[in-house]
Formats: sequence, C-alpha cells, structure tokens
Amino acid sequence: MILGAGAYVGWNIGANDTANCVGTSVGCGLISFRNAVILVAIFSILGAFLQGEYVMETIGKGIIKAELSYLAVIIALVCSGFFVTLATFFRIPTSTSQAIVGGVVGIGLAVNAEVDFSKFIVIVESWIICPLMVMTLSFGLMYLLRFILRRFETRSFLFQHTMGWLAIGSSCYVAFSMGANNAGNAVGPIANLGVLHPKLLLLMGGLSIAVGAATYGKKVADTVGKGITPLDIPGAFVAQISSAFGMHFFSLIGIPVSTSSAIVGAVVGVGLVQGMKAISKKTIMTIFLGWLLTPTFAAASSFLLYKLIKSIFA
Amino acid sequence: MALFKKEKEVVGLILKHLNLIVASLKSGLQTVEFYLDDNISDAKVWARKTRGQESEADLIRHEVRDKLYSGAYLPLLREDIYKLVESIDKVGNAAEACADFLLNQRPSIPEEMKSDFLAASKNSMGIADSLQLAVMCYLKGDCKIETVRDHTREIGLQESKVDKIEWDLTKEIFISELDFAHKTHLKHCLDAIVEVSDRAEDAADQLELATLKAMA
Repeated sequence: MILGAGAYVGWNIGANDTANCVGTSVGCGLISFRNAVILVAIFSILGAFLQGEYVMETIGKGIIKAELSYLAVIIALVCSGFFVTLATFFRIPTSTSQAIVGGVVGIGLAVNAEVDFSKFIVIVESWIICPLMVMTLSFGLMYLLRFILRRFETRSFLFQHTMGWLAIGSSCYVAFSMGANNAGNAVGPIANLGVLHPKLLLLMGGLSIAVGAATYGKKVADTVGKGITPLDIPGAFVAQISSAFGMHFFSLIGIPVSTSSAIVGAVVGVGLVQGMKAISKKTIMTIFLGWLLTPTFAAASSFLLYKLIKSIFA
Repeated sequence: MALFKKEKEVVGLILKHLNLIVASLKSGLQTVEFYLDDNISDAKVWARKTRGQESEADLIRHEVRDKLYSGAYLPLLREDIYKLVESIDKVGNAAEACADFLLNQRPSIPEEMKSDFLAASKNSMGIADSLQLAVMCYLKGDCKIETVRDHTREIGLQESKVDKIEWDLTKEIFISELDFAHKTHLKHCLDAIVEVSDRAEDAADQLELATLKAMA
C-alpha cells in the first residue's frame, strides 16, 4: 500500500510535469505527444535512477526530524497526490514538489514531530528563486539568440531543422532533470521505512512518472505549450534549456524545486522578449494560484486527515 | 559530413527541381516566341522540351515527397517544404499548359497584338530568374533573410507588371473588330500566359511564409 501511494505521487508527477519537459516542443509542433512521452519516460527514469538520491534524502530526512509511521507517510503522499490530480484535471501546471513538501510538513505537525523550519524556509525560498532565476536566464538567452539570429540572418529549412533537434534535445534534458529532482518527491517519504533499496525506489518513482506522462500528461502540456505565450522553435529551445539548467542545479544541491514553476518562469522569460503583451496574464494568475493553494491544501488536508483517523481509531 | 545527410539530399533535389522548372519556363518562352514568328515546327520542338522538363521535375518532386515522408526533416517542417516544392511545380505546370495551348488550339494572334503578347510572355515567364534567386538564396542559407524577401518582393512587382500588360491587352482584344469567339480565344490564350506569373507569385508567397515562420 505504501509503495502504491508513492507510485500514485509519481503518476501525478508524470501527469502534471510531463508538460514541463515537452509542453513547449509539442506546443510548437516539433514532435507528437506520443513520441514526446516516450522521451520523457526514458529520460525521467534515467534522471531518477542516476541523480534522484539528493532530493530523496531531503524529502525523507531533511524536513521532519522524526521517523514517520506507515500511516503518516501514506496520508502525506495521498493528500499531496490528490491536489496535484485536481490541478491536472483543471489543466493547471502545479508543483508536485510543493505539494509533497506541504504534505510532509502537515503530517509532521500532526504527529508533533520537530519540523526543520530553517530547511523548510530554504526550500520555500528556492520556489521563488528558481522561477525568477530561470526567467532571467531564459530572457537573457532568448535575447542573445535573437541577436545572433538577426546578425547571421539565416533561416533555411536546414537551420530550422537543427534548431528543432536542439529543442528536442533540451526536452530530454528537462525530463532527465525532472526525474532527478522529482522522483525523490514520490519516494522520499518511503525511503526511511526501508521497504525497498533506495535505488529500486527511485526506479519505481521514475517508472510511475513515465506511466503518468503516458496516461494523463496531455492536458497540462497544452497549457504550457500554447496557453502562456505562443512559442516558436528557438523559443521552445531556450525555455527548455533554461528550466532544465535551473532544475538540475537545484537537484544537485538537494533542493526539491518545482519543474512547473521552472518551465513557467522560462516560458514567461521567452515571452517577455516580445514584451508584456505576449504574455497571457489570465493563465499566469491561474498558475500562480495553483502554486499557492496546492502546498497549502496538501499540508492542511494531511494534517486534518491524520488527526481524524487517529481520533477515530484512538 | 554524415550529419543531416537526408536533409541535405532533399535540398539538393529541390534545387534540381527548381532548375528544371526554370528551364521549362525558358523553353515555354521559346515556344511562344517561335509561335508568334509563325515558326510552328520549332515551336513544337520547344513545347516538347517544356513538357519533358516539366515531367522530369515531377519525378523529382515525387522523390522529394518520398524522402520527406520517410524521415527527412522534422514533421513540423515537412509540410512547409513540400508545399513550397508543390507551388514551384505549379509554375512549371503553367508554362507547360501555355505551350500546349498554343500548339493544341493554335490561336490566331493578329499582327498588331503580337508584340503585346510577346511582352506579356516575356514578363510572365521571365519571372523565373527572380524565383530561382529567391528559392536558392533561402535553401542554401547563404543569404540574409532580407535578401530573400527582396527577391520575393521583386516577384510580386513583376507579377503586377504582368497584370498591367494583361489589363491593357484584354482591353485591346475586346475593343477590336474581331468576332466574339476569336476575342474569347485570345483572352484564353492570354490567361494561359499570365497564369505562369500568377503561380510564381503563389510560390513566392509560400516562400515568404516559410521565412516568416522561422523568424525568432
């Protein structure tokens, strides 16, 4: 059951965050969603297996200074997963990282465990810094790319083809970074329980992300690829490479950041090169609200559900 | 270099196709010139040449299509590339149709209108050079995008010039003393001639669209 709860969170990551890896490439028509999912599956499993342990450690041991029971872990996972499912249903690219951190903090408070608020604040800060950093990076890169393109002024089909492959390659890098950063979210809380070897847990996390991408990833992909700002091939490439870089950076220092906020920040950065008018403010507001509500609801619901179950069975 | 081998082959084929289409336009113009000189036997030779060049271009167009849909270029670009090739091919088709019209229907062009028909043909089929420059410039990637657009603009200007000649000649045909059937036949002949520049303008539009889509 506990592995199932972890897989459920992994499935949610795949369903909601596939968009972050391939939404821009699919949105500008570079690859079909089917082929994109195959790429996400391969690279997210690789990322999870090879570099997922840093975030898994933070989620497993970094925030709550206590061993959580099976029940507490299941509640934290299911509550976080539920709100991500809800966001996915409404096509909002929310953050599974934020949801799971919210869920873990909520359950930590419910079991009266010591919550490492200094670590929690660092994580929350990264949720603000990461999209801003990625947005600045993508704005700068896009500006530079446009400058270079205008200078050389060549746009032959072969040039566009090369740019297209670079964009697809950057999608794979985002998928790798997503696996590295987010698989830990799905299986981190389980890692301490010793149910499975950490590498096997990460593999399971990666696989469930792949299944989520294949079965329910299309909805949010449309929002990221088309809803925020219309993207061309160079735009898709810059957005993806910037968000992948940002996420990879935070993965290596063990901070669970949101792939959603990274890619949304990156897409906004690309759009801003064309001016404020290119950005859909309504979509941005909806996404921002999703970011705020998902961790809050995940924390509150896991806290309340744990208390409720305990009071019933006390 | 093995990188993007298939894609480079497609570019090579498109340029080969383009050269054949341009050659078919030049042969088409020769056909008209010999026809207006009442040299039917030479006109027939050049009309056959036009047809042969157009048929050869068709085979290459099919080869481009097969290569594209067997994996050359990303799916997003394939449609644009094939649409461009198709639109260039239609220019050749129009030249072939014009040569066929003359040799098949043998319109009787009055002496006083021959110079205007020749001017319409030279301007309409002479658009080939600008089209060739624009497409080569874009496909080879060694021109600035603005240069490509200058060439496409040139095609547009030339087409407007042909439109003006067509307008004046149509008026000349219909205010003449010829009988109505003759007038209509001459107008059909003129339509076949100016169709070439119309199709060339379509090809230029398609090319301009491809350049616009690639703008970052």
